[in-house]
Amino acid sequence: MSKAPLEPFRVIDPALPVGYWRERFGVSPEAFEGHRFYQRHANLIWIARQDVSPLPGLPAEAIGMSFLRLKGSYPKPTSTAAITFGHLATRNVVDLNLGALQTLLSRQEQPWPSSSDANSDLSPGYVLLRFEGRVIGCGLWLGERLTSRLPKRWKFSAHLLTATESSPSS
Amino acid sequence: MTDRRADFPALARYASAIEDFDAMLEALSRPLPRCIWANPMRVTPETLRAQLQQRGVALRPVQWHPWAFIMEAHTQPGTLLEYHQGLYHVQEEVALTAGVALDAQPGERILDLCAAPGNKTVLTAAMMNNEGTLVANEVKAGRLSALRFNLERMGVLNTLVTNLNGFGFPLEHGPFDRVLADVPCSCEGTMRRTPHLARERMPEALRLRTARTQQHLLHRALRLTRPGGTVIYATCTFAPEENEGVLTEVLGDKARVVPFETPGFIGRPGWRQWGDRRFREDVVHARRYLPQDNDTGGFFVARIEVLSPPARGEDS
Repeated sequence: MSKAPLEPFRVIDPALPVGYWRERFGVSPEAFEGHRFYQRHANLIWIARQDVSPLPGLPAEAIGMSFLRLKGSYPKPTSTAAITFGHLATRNVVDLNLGALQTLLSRQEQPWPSSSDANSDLSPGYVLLRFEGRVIGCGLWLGERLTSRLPKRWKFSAHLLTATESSPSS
Repeated sequence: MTDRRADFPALARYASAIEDFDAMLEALSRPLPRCIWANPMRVTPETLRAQLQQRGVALRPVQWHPWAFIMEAHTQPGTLLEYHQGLYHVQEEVALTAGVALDAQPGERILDLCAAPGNKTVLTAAMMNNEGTLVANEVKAGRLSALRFNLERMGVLNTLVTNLNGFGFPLEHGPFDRVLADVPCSCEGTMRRTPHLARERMPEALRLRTARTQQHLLHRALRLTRPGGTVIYATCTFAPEENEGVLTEVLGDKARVVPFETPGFIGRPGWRQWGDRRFREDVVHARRYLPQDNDTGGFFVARIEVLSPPARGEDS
């Protein structure tokens, strides 16, 4: 019972993924030096270190990490790409407090900006979500409201964040 | 003490071979400490410790391994935000010995022949500093998602994931500098996590079949490694048929078992004999990690140096 043969990964021009991260998040193209971008299907771009040597004639299941999804109205960084490269971003980043994060983890919309003094220089599309100084994934902001694109499985661990506030001593 | 022995019929065969056998059963009866290691591709051990401390989760450093901690809190280590961010990995402390023995270096070409769920794969990638090429192979398609989840979560960028039978991993994709053969086994060393194994005596036919599989995998690993390169053969079982026996059947004059150190973590030499069976001399350089020595699970690791190129036309 052999499955359908895998399509091979093709090395692609970095202009699209690198340009997207520069335009949207202000990340310098130099951040991606030493990496190559790959595609197998139209919807997803992958990234790997450039010294990863392919296995000629042996298509891989995966190469490096998934990087950018191209389906939908806006390109979407994968969660792992957001976590890996998001610390370099200078715009379209939202700093969440605990309440906002819990709202998003429970898959509810978070009004944003939440108050008049909040940072609101966002443009519509995917934004990077930062909590306690670290980018933890993506959200979608279409003006006024933020929705979660954090992995759905995370909701089960939302209660653990409350430890920051209650600080059990054990 | 006899009561404890009655709880572990699966291990009765080792009673005379391990002099502190009762201490071993005692250790196996206790819950396993939860070990995690800070992901050097994302965070320093100090920063991770401080961050989890803030959440009320205390970490106790593992003295012999610079990245590892025992998580002392009530928390399930796989359910914290920091876990999802890939700041740490959850792995049995004793399994870290395979990483020390492999001694993966940045820029090398390395194959993990039986990779899923990817615990040792991500450890290897971290030791490679995310540089070079790490081929993560897994024969079972249903286990690829766990492997890929761990690679992505930990931010690994130097891997190719393949879904091939390890017996037949194509030789043209070698040679590798190092190959990790962390083979499927009877898992006797994992009883602290899977207590039901203590009560199940392994049928001889199954033991034989398991050992045959292991021999095929080790044989392939040797052929995929460059001369002078390193193969790590690892199991989580005490069974000599699956450990020293496999080394003795497969290595011949193609490779030799060489010493390695895990300073601060106690290992015992491989066995030269089991019943009537004598094993090759250099198996004493392999390490048996027993639960009573470091308060861990049980594990077996052999570091193997490949001596000569595989002969042409040799059967696999």
